[in-house]
Amino acid sequence: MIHLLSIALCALGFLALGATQKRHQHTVFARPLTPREVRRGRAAGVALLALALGGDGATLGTGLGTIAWTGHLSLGAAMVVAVLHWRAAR
Amino acid sequence: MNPNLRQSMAWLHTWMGLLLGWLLFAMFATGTVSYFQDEITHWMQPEIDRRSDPARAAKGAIAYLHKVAPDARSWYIALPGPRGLTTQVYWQPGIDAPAQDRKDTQARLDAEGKPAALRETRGGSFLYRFHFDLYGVPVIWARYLVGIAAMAMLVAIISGVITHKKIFADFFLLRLGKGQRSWLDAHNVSAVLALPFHAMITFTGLVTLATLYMPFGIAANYARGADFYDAVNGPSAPAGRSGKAMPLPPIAPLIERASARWGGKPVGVVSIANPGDASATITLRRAAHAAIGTSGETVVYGLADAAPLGESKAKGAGLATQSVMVGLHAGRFADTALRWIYFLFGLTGTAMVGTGLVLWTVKRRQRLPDPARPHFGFWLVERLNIGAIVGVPAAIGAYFLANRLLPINLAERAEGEIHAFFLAWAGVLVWSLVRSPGKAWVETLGATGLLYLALPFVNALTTARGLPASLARGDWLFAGFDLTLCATGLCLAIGAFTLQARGESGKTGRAPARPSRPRKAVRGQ
Repeated sequence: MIHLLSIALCALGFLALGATQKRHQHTVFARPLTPREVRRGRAAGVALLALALGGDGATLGTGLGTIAWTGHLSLGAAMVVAVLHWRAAR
Repeated sequence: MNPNLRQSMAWLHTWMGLLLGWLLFAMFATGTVSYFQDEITHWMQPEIDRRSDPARAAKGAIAYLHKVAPDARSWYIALPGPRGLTTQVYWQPGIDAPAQDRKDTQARLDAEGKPAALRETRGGSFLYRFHFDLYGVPVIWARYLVGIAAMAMLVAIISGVITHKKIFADFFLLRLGKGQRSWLDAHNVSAVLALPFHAMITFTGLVTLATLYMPFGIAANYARGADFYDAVNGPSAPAGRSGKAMPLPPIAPLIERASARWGGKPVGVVSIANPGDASATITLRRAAHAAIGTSGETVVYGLADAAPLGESKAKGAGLATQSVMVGLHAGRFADTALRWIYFLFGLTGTAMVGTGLVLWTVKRRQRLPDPARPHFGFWLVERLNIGAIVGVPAAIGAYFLANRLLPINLAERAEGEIHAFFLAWAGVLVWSLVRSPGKAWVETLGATGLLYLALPFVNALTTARGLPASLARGDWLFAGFDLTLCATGLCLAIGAFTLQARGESGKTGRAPARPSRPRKAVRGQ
C-alpha cells in the first residue's frame, strides 16, 4: 500500500517540477508562468518528493525505505513523462 | 562544460555502448527475468503447487538424507522461502563412497521430504546463470567477458550523463513518431528516469564478482585464497568423524532458537557436517529474503549441549558494504511490489541498451551515400541489432515453449530446453541475415509476439493449470505468469505492426531513408 501512496506522491511532486519547466509550461497551463509561480511549484514538488521519502522511511525502515523510494521516484517520473507526452500530443 | 570533453565523451559513449551493447542487452534481459527466477521455475514445473512450511520441510529433508546418504560428510538443505515450494538438498558423499556425479548427490523434495516428481528442467536458474556465466564457455572466461561488459556499461552511463546536454531541461521530454528525435528521447528518458537503478545495478554487478576481477587485496594478505574464505565464512571443512554414533536432535527447536536469536528472521539454510556421528555440527543460516545483505547471520550448534559452538564473525565495514551491494543487485529481499519494480527497471535498462543500439543505425542511415547498399559495418550492426533485440526475447519464449512441448521423459530434457533457447536465437539471427532489415524486424517481432501469445494456450492445453483454471483458483503465480506472457506478446506484436505501418508509409514517402514520418504532428495540424 505504501508503494502506491509513495508513487502517487512522487508523481505529483515530479508533475509540479515538470509543469513548471520552461518546455512544459505551455503544454500544461497554456501560458508562461511567473517566476513566483515557478518557485512555488518547484518548492511544492521538492516537498512532495521529500514527503514520499519520509513515508517510505517511516513505514519500511530507513534502509529498505530509501531503496524503495528510489524506485518510487523513477516510477513517478515515468508517469509524468507519459502525462506530458499525452498532453503535448493533443 | 568544455565542448571537447563532451565530444570525446560522446565518442566513448557511442563506441563502448555499441561494442558491448549486444552482450549487455542479453545480460540485461536475462538478468531482468531472473528477478522472477523462482516463479519461472515453478511455472516450468507445474507438477507441484503445495507450499511447505520450513520447519516441516527441514524435518522431511533430514529423514530423506538419513535414508539416502547416512554416511555423507555433510548435508546441505536449502529450505523453501515464501517464494519456494520445494526443498533443495545436496550432500557430500562419505570419504569411502565411490565418486558420484553431481546430479546423483542432490534432490528436490516436496513438503513431506519425498523426492518431488518433477519434469527435468533448469527452470529460472538457467536464465539466471546465463546472465553472468553465459553458456558453453568456461565459466571463468564468461565472467571476465561479463565483467568487461559491465565495466563498459559503467563507462557508458558516466559518459552518457556528461554527453547529455540538457539532462534537466529535457528530463521529462518524450516525443514519439519523429524518427531519430524519438529514438534519442526514448534512449534518454529510459536512461535518465531509472538512472539510480542503472548505476546501482551496474556497479553492484561488478561488486558481485569483485574478488575475481581484483584478487590483489586477498592475494596480498592471505597465503591461499581458501584462507580468506575461511576467515570470512568460518572453516568450511568439517572435522573428521569420531566413529561414535550419535543421533541428531530434532531440528525444529534448533530452527526456532536460531530464528529467535536473529529477532525473528527465519532460517534459510541448514547444513549438517558428519551427520549421525558424535562430532556432528548443525549450521543454520539466515534466509536470504529476510534482510538486504546477502552474507547473513550464521549459528553453529553441536550435539552435546544447547549453547551454540560458534556464530558468524563480526564483519568489517567493507564486508558489510559488499554484502548489502550484492543483496541490492540480486534483490532477494524484495517483496512482491518491490520485485515488480525491480523487474520494470530491468526492462527499462534493457530498453535503454536496445534504443541505444538502434540509435546508432538511425543516426547513420541518413548519412549513408546509398542507404540501399550500406557499408559492411552498418550492415553488420543492423543485423546484429535484430539478432539481439528480437533474438533474446525469442530465445526465452522458445525456452518456455520447449518446456511445455518436449516429452516429459525425454533423455537430457533440460538440455533440450536450452537447445531450443539457442536455436530460436540463432534462427532470428539467420533470418536477419537473409532478409532485408526492414522486413526482418517486422517478421521476427511478429513471430516472437505470436510465440508469446501462444504460450498461455499451450500451457492450458498441456497442463491442468491454464489461465482460466488458475484465475478461478486464485493461483496468482500461474495467472500472473500467463498474463505477463500475453502482455509481452502484445508489446512485440504492436512493435511489428507499428514498423509495418511505417515501412508502408515510408515506401510512399519521398524519403525512404527516414524510418518514420512525423505522423502525429501532421494529424495535429
